[in-house]
Amino acid sequence: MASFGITLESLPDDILLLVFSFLPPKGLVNFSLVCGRWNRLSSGDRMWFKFCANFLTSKPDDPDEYLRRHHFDSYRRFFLSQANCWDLSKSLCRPDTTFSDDNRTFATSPDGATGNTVVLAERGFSECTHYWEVVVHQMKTSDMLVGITVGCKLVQQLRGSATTIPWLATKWVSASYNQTGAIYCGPLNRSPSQYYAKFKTGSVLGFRLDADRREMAVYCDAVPQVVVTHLPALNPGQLYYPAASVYFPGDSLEMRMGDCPPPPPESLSRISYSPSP
Amino acid sequence: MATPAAAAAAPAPQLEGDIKLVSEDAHEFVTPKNVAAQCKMIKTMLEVSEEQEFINLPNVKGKELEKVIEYCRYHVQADKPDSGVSDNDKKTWDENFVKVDKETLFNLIMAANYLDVKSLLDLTCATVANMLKNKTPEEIRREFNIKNDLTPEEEEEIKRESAWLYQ
Repeated sequence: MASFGITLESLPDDILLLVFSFLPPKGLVNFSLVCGRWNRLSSGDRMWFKFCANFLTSKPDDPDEYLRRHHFDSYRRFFLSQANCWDLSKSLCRPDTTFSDDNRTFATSPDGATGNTVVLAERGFSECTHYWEVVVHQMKTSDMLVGITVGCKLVQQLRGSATTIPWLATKWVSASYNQTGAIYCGPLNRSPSQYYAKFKTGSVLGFRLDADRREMAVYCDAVPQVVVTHLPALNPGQLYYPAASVYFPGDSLEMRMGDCPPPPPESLSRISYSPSP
Repeated sequence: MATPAAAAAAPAPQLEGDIKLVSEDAHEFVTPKNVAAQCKMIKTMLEVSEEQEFINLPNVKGKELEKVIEYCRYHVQADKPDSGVSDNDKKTWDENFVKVDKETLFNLIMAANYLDVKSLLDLTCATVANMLKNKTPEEIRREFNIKNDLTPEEEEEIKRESAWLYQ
């Protein structure tokens, strides 16, 4: 092996793979446009699975089987198709929807109440299991809802021509504080039927959403509270979005990602979101 | 089952004294064995035979071998728990260490790979990644003289799949 005249091109595959492994997804896609060899190397499952594993939060026991089940031929495709669902367009959403500026935190203005739906993340989910937490920084009264809402992803092909994409539906599955100081899980417009542990300023609410089974487990300060089953079915293009509804002036909360806990115990109470069939 | 215990019970190889490393172009470097052993490949050779006075390295030129030894020498000292060298200092040293021209960097990668110095291989590969990451495919091709052999269909497909990344 001559040690002179080595160029980027002459580096062997495993070295280039190591170089590529230091890149974020965008860098990798960029590299795949350089030439055929780089495209082949930068598209490998080894490279992309780590990004998928990061955002799926629950790691599949058998990565290959997992891919087949979701009808994708590579983790690169899988990642790109998922990520494609992330963005909500601020210009096309319903006017009463508020977006967290940094996709994380939200606080009502200190001098005026709002009752807006706040979408806490740009990323919505239509499949797999996801977990996130919401920290209640301040809650002065009972009026706060934290949970998920159902929205429509922006369909790539419609962009530019569509002006009236159906937007965030007012379907809620929430954990809400009520007069008795309890988490209430269920659809907003139905009378409260079951109550669970309290949440208050300082509480950390956890949401473990299993989009495949349409179930969501709710945690308060790491203690499982309830499993909401039969979540509203998603129409084509719709996703579940982490969201909140904050009313009282000055109230604030923050969403963050967390390590997905194992499935809650079978014995945990379960309530159905949709009316029983 | 017995392997880990047996390995632990084996006497640690003697790494005292110097060893002469000979590069492909016949440059000789007398190096402390504990420094040379940072290269896993050399460590293995030292463990196999304690008697040898020199090791021939037919895949590394003197220029790169000198750099690799410099890297190992620094890290043997700096990575000691009581060295008093902060992680920040080490990072700065590493950053300066890889401020070399491209050809030297690529040769260094090949040397780190051959001699099996994992941390140096990571450092040099991350440096290349950094060098490339904000460049367009066109700029990369021009700078490194790479021929674009993607068909227009392949290019179109990649761009379509990843369009959301570029908004």
